[in-house]
Order: sequence, then structure tokens, then C-alpha cells
Amino acid sequence: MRITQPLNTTRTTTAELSVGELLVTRGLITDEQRRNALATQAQTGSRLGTILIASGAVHPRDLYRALADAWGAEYLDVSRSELDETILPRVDPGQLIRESWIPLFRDPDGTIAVATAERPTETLHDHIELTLGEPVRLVVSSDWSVSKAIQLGYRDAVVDRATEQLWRDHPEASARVVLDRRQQIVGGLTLVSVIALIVLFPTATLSVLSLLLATGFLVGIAFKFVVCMTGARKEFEQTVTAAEVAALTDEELPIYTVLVPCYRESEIIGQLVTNLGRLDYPSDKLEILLLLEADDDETLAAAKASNPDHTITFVIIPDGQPKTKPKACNVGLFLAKGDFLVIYDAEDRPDADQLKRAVIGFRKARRGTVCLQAALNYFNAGENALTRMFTLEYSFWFDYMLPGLDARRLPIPLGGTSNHFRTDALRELGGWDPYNVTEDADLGIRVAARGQRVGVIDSTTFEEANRAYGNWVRQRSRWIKGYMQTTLVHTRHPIRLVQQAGLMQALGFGMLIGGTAVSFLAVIPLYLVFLVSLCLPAAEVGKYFPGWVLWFSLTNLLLGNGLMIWVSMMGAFRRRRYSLVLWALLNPLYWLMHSVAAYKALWQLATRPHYWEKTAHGLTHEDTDVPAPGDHTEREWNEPRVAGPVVAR
Amino acid sequence: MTTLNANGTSLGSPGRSWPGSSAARNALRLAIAAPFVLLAFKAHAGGFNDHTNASLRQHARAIHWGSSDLSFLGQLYPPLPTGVAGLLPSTFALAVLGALGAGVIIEALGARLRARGMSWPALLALLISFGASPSFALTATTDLRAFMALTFLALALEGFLRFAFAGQTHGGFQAGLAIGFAALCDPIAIVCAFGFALAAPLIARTRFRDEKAAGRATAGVLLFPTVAGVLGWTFLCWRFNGSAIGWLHDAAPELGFGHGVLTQMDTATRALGRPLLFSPVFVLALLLLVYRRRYLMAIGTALPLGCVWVAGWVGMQFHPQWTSVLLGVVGVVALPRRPGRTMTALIVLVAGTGLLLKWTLASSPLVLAWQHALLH
Repeated sequence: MRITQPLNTTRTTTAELSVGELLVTRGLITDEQRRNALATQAQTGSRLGTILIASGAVHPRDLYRALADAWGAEYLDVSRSELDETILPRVDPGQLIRESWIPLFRDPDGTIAVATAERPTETLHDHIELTLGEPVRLVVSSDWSVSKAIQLGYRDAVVDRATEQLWRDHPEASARVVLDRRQQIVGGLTLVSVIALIVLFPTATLSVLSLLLATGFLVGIAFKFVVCMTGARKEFEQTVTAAEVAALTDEELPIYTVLVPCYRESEIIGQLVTNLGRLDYPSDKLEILLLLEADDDETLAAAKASNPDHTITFVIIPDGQPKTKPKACNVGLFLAKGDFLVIYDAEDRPDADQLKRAVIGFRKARRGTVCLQAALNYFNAGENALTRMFTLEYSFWFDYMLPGLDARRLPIPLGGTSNHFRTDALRELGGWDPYNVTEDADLGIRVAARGQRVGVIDSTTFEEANRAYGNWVRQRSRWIKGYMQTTLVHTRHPIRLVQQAGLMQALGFGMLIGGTAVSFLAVIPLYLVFLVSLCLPAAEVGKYFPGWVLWFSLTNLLLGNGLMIWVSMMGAFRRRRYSLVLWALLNPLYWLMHSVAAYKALWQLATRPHYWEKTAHGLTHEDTDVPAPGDHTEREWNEPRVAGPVVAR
Repeated sequence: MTTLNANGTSLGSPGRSWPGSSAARNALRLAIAAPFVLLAFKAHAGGFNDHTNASLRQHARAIHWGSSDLSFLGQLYPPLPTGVAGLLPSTFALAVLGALGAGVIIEALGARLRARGMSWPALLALLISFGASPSFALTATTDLRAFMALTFLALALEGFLRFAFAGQTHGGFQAGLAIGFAALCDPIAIVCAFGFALAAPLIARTRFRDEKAAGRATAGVLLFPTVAGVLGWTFLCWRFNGSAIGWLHDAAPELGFGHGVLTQMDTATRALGRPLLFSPVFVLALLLLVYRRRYLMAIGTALPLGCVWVAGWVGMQFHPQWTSVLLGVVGVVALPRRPGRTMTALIVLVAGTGLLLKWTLASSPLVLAWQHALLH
């Protein structure tokens, strides 16, 4: 794993300066490298060792050997050490990760040997003895080795925590159970009642259902339009200006963890490494964790071959069910050492200064803000009709809806990527729900349900729009299934939701999440009714629907579709994607595709609720090259830093 | 929060923000509306024959709302004023509603002038010249259909200018939506929508010179609400009434060139003379733009005049006082921002002259009858 201890402190000490000289004396670095590192240190305030490792000038093992000598302690590489499993359960692995130490084994005299990446001071010694309740002997090891040893030793605990902790701590917040007892009863009774009413009073029931559907549709559209107009009013408001970013000094930047879950992404992993290398953030304050699945040798091999930057660490997620992105992210969260944390997808191209903007954004954010969502858009918008429609949709959503929701203090369902968190707050929230297939949206609503906030920052991450129709339906069905899961989870205690989040927030959640899923399910029936009403004489249709119901429904359909097409056009206009504007006229067909995906989602919710429909990336034919990464110091050793129990074993 | 445009230049708030709170805004609107309510009451008490609102109300009452065959849709156009007239209990209530609308439109103009740094003397002179004119007061309190269309067109124009010149998509939303609503009040708005759409690419060519499809996109987003609204209405009429464009014939019975293309052109041109005479602020704004070589802005400002001319040419009927009010709105929103002392004095002078002309040269029988009713 990446270094821990040097990341946690920014104060310079005399001992560290002497370490630099020591490394020069031993021939591990040149004097020029030492001077460069000292110059960087003056800017960032980071430890010299951290800077030297991040720049690739020195191997962590060599640095910690030198540190151990300077501290007068024994050095031990513990990354593959045998661990005494009788001692490990006494300590919480989270504490070990935070404090960078691990109990190893008993010496013949019964003393417990403990490896630490911190200076083995008297205070630390006493603290660890107090924690373990027995005499200890401290040895020094690199923080990467310590972290790796912790993962080895606590493999099952980490996986269990990533998978089940939310369920254990807050079962009502987890989608592990699709419907709780009360939902089963209420849902079952409602279904039976509706069927009975249709059989007994078909005309009246159809009319009422049609009216309810049309009213819900109208309210949903009106809600989106109002929020969108609010977002449009915020068009030129910048939460963070370029001047503020420029004024930010490296010294005041916190440690930032970047999580990148990768599964079957061998095609684009090289591009990912390049894109991450473009992030404008001091490398010694950046911790990038590539979360790789244990059964995905191909991606791991491609990642190793991509010659990753020294800020990048591979974390192997042990195999097991559910195999979902949130589970991988929870493992990443467990290991994260940053004050802030962000998730990127493998194909993402974030704006280079996005992390800095997030840091400033958090400083300026309203009280209780735990997450900032950046805008998402696509770099291959013009590839085919599907990518155009996808881009139209995202432009509207991220450029109008999210700023509008933010301004109106309504819940913001997070997008799957580019969500920036306060790491501590995220841990308190319980991390992501590994049983929810839109864990991001669920988390955004959970934040609101606890009276906290999600904000937005005006920075964009460009992604790859889905260009293949089957792949799109798979992806969209997962999203809609996740919306259904999220709706069911957060409506288990509706009164509590209103009490905690507020009435408007609860209604906003209902319309954004539940309403979206229901409206997609309604598209096919509504279009069919529309077509039938066109084909039959008005008098014939009037037998089943009173005239005013039909009039209301048709007007509603025309108005709703018209408004949503229009805001879609405006979204593209705002993004200056002018050639896409008229493509918005095809939205009714696009919504029909959504409806197909929604029925697939409903079927899967009943049959495979936790199944993660994998979206294939790297399908684009557009040139995905990006400018070469910045001037990175060439690394001096080629050992890929791979952490994780499976590879380690 | 900092408000910047794409180039980093400050633009000011995209929405109306004067007065600051919505309570204060509403109070101001009510205060402005109060004299118009009083005028409506006086005219009503003085026996003024408000035949325009009366016929709108009669039209609304003749409709069999909710009949199961929905054939009433064919008679419903213009749906917004007709729907409102169907809901309100009397002609006087329509006049009061119009008076309240007058408060909204004058407050909106005031907000626009404040946002553009107009000094208080100029602001007051312009608003008084605009609001205290007989044509405005008469339209507001006696012709709800025309006034609703006018209000929406004024909002559309204000949004259009922000959208086309400052690149604010919120202005585009306002323009598109308002003009779409205006089209549901009066078919003349359809002509205006096409006017906006035609002017937009000209403006877009300058603003987005290097960007492909910018002109088409600008026209598309402006035109879409009106086209969608008109097509949607046409579809509903066709579906439930069997006649797709019967509503348009009813709303504009003289539509076409029944009196000859050139004759109608001549009539439409002559019809603009008197409204132009009553709108010196509009003329001033236009001349200033041309003098400052802001030709595209001048085109945008002259656009409503062109639309009125085209509408008159193709046989749409509307009262000349409606044109006066429209040009009055355009003139106010198109004046230069932050005028100096000389310019302020000129604006006050021209606004005062306009008001004087409107009262002294008013000779239409309708206006005279209305003035007579007010005095008795």
C-alpha cells in the first residue's frame, strides 16, 4: 500500500532533513534529488520521504530502512509476514489503518512484536501497549508493507465489513432485503385491491388510474421544470472561480484519496492511468486506489503494464457475492487515508483542477455538506444517435437539474462518479450499500434523510457515452432497478423520512427517484393508449374514458413531452453542443428505450435484485487520446505496488 | 457566489431582483396596480361599454366545458384568456385582472431599468410615460386577451434580449415560454415567434462565430415552444373537432390576402404611423443603437415592429393602441444601460413628450369614450 505516516503529517522536522542527507550518503538519491525534494517540501509542507517516494526517487523499503537506522530501530518487511491470528481480533483494523501499525507475532519471551510506519517513540509504544494490554516491541516497516499486512491479516473482516456493515448497523437502510414485511403487506393489498376494482368496475377504475397517472406525470414534469428553471438562474454563478483555484497553495491542500473501481476494463486502463496523471494536485498529497477484482487477471495485467504513476496503488478486492462496485468502494473507503475522497470510473476524464475546486468548494459549502457532485458529460457525444441522446440527457441533468436541486436544498441523487466526500462523514454514513445497484443515488438520498447535504461544484468529468444499444439497455436497467431499490429502502419509514429530511425533501426524493422509475414504466402503456385513441373514433374511446379524462391525459402527454424535449434542447445549448439541439426532438423514442429498460429492471428486481449489470467501456471509436501527462519524474523501480489478500497469497 | 459569463465578464443577476424580496415585489406590483383598478372601477361605473372583454366573456360562456365529445375544443381558442374568462364571474373582474397584470408588467420594466443602471428620474419618467398613457390603461382594463398576449410578448422580448445578447439560457427559457403562452392568447404571437427565430441566427452568427450549428440551435430553442404549442393545439382540435386549423380561421378571420397583397401591405405600413408617433422612446432607443453601430441589437429592437407589420400584412387584426403599447415596452427595454446626465435628460424629455402626445392626440372613438366614462 501507499505510504501512510508521511501523509498524515505536514510538519517538517530536523530528523527528516537528516534523512535526506542520509539517503544521499547511502547513494539512494542524488543531492539534486534531495534539493528538489526540499524545494517541493517548501511548497507543500509534506514530509521529505513522502515527496521522494511520490516522485519515484526512492523505494519505500529503502527509505524506511534509512529511517529505522536514523531512529535506532529494527527494520522488518512485514508485507508477507506470518501474523498471529490470536492477537489480531483484539484490535479494530480501521484503527490500525489510521495509526499505521500491526501486531505481528509473539517473541519467545511473550512480548508482542508490532510493526509501525511511525517513529517508534515512547508515547507510541505506551499507546500500543495500552491497546493490546500486553508488553510490545516495536519494529519499523514501510507504511505500504504495514497496510498490506493489515489487509492480509484482516481479509475476511474487511470483506465482511465492506459487504455487511451497513446491513448490520442499519438494516432498514440496506437494499439486502427488497421488501420488508410491511411493504409486502401494503403492496400486496394494494395490488389485489386494484385488480378487484378493475374486474368489478373496469371503466371507472381505468379512468381513475389514468387520471392518477396523468396527474403524477404532470406533477413530476412540473417539478423537473421548476427545478430546471432554478438551475438556469444559477447558470453564471460559479461556486469556485479560477482565481480562487490559482490562489490555492500546495501547502494548504489536504490529502486526497481517489477511488477508481475497475472491473473488466483492460481495454482502457492505460488511458485511465494517463487521465489520472493529468490531475493537478501535488502527488505527495494524492492517494489513488485502483480497485481491481480478484477474478479479473486481465485488467490487473493491463494495469501493471501501464507503468502507473507512484501515486497509484492497486487494491485487489477478494471474490465473493455481491460482486458490486459499492463493495469495492467500501474496501477502498476502509483503506483511504485522505481527508477527502472521490470516485472516478475507469473511463473518466475529470477537469484537471477538479480536486482543488472540490477543496475550495467544501470550504465554502453550507453547513452539513458532506459531498460535492461534479457535472458529468461525454467526450464521444457525436459518435452515433445513442451517444447524442445520452449527452442531451446528461447536459440537462447535470447542468440544470443538479444546480437547481442544490439551490432549492432538495436531495441530490449522486451520479456514479465524481462525487467528492469528506471521508470521515462518509464513514459515519456507513459507506455505500453493496446491495444497491445505484449505490450513488441511494447514498445521496441517505445523506438527505439524515439532514445533511450534497452540493455541486462547477467542474466537469467527461465520460464515455454508451454507443451500443444492448449495452445501453443493460446499463439503464441497472440504474432503474437501483432507483426502484432506493425508493423501496427509503419509503420503509416515510414519516421518519419526512421528520428527518423535511417534507419538501421527501417529496423531491419521491419525484426524482420513485417518480423516474414509475414514469419510465408508464411510457409504453401511455404511448399505447395514445395510439389506440388515435385509431378509434372519439365516441368509441369515450366509452372507456370520460371526455375530460382523455382531454386531460392527451394535453398532459403533449405538454409534458414538449417541455421535456425543450429543456433537453436548452441543456445542449447551454453546453454549447449546438449540433445536438435538434436531436432532442427524438426524445420520445429515447424514452421508449428507457421504458424497455425499466421493465427489464422490474423483472430483475423480482428475480435477481442484487445482480450488477456490467457496462462495457472502451467501445468508442472516437479518438480517446488526451494530452500527455505532466512532467513526471521517471520511476526508478518497476515493482507494481499491488495490495490485497488474494494477490498477496 | 460570483456571477460571470463565459468570458468572465460580470453580467448581473439573470432574473429580476428589484425589489429584493418577493414580498416587496408583490407589494409594489399591487401598489402599481391600484390606480388601474381604480380606473377600471371608474370606467365601469361611468357606463363604459367594455365590448372586447364582454365578447371574450360571452365566448367563454358559450362553451360547453367538459362535454364528453370534446368538440368544444374547436371554439376554445385562445385557450388562456378564454379559460380565464370562463373562470371569472364578470367583465369587471376581467378588468381587475388586467389591472393587476399592469402592475406586474410595469414592475418588470422597472426591474429591468434598475438592473441596467437607469437613474431614478429617467426610470420614473419612462414608467409614467408608459403606464400613464391611455393606450396602456385602456388595453389593460378593457382587452384581457390582447393584454395577456402583450404581457407575454413583453416578457418574451426581455428574455430574448438576455438570451441573444448575454447568452443567458434562463432568458431563452423565459422568451420561449412566454412567446408560447402568447401564442395561446393571440395568433399574432406566432408571427413574433418566427420573427425571433429569424433574428436569432443573425445574432448567433456574431456571438458564436466559430461554433457550428449555433444559429440553427438558437432559432430552434426559441421557436420550439410556440411550434409545439400550435401543433399540439392543432392536433387536439383535429382529433376532437375534426378541423385542424379551424381555430386559426376563427381567431383571425381575415387571414390571407383577400384584399390584395399590395393593398394589404400598404394598409399595414400606414397602420404603423400613429403607433410610431406615440412611441418616441422606441424611436429614440432605435436611433441610439444605430448611432452606436449596434446594428444587431437594433435589428432585435426593430423586430417587434416588423412582426406587427407582417401580422397586419397577412390579415391579422389588432388595435393600433396594442401596437403602441408593444413599442412602448420595446423602447423601455432597449434603452442604453447606465446613461449619463445628458442622456438621462434626453430620456426624460422624450418620455415626457411621448406622454403629452398620447394624451393630446388621442382621437380614437374608443379612447374618447373611455375618457368620457372616466370623467363622469
